[in-house]
Amino acid sequence: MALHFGYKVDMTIFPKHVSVAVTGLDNDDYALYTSAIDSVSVSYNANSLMSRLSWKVADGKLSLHDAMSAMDKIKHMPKMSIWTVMLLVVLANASFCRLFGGDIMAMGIVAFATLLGYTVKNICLTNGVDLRITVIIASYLSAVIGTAGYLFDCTGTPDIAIGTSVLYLIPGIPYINSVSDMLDGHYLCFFSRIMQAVILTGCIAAGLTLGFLTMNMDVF
Amino acid sequence: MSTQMLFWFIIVGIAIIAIAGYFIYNADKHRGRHFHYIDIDHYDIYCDDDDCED
Repeated sequence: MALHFGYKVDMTIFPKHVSVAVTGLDNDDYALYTSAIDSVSVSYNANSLMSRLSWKVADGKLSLHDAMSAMDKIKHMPKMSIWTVMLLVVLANASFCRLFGGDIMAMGIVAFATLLGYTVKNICLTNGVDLRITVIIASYLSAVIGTAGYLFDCTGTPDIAIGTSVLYLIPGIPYINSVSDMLDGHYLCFFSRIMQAVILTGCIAAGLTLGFLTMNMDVF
Repeated sequence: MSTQMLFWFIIVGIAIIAIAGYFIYNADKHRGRHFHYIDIDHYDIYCDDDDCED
């Protein structure tokens, strides 16, 4: 995009800030911008729209003014309803259970565990509870519900029900982004993201273990 | 019923009651962005002291 307007961009990504240096190719223009990275919910729709917009600008199909107004529209696009997201998360996690070989009852247990765990996660995050504490609570509740297969002997795959009941909490995006940062050479950002993901994974494991201890499960 | 089953029902029951309670408690709060209670100045409307004219 910068090359299209006759500028060169050097971008430095820090864990909490991004720094952009713009240098003119044909003149002595120089500007440096530093901005804090906002913590916003992930929207693949916004991501693809921004990607499309950037290609349009780079190809010269859109003026700077039109690009800025398009970007403003993307930023103020309505978010997906929390209930729709919850339904999709429940269905996705139940499908994970099926993918790993779980039967229909195991899928039901996983769906119920996801429904309650994800609701508790949303409530905690809405009320400003620390993310790590939230993950431990949600993981604990989902793990306890996931043990229903063993307790009530209602499924032939209780181990898969337990294992997949907390999969919705796995921080997949930080893991993917960290690998992407590592490949691009942004090692500081890579380390920050991977540490965040590892800590959250540790919290999931802590909740899961607490759930097993509460229910006196000997699954290992 | 084994102790584990009892624990399971207690934990899941508490979670369901807490979630339902949270939503019921908050259902009264969220009335939309433009909702606001009308502020009534009771001192202006009621007067029960000697300064009242009527």
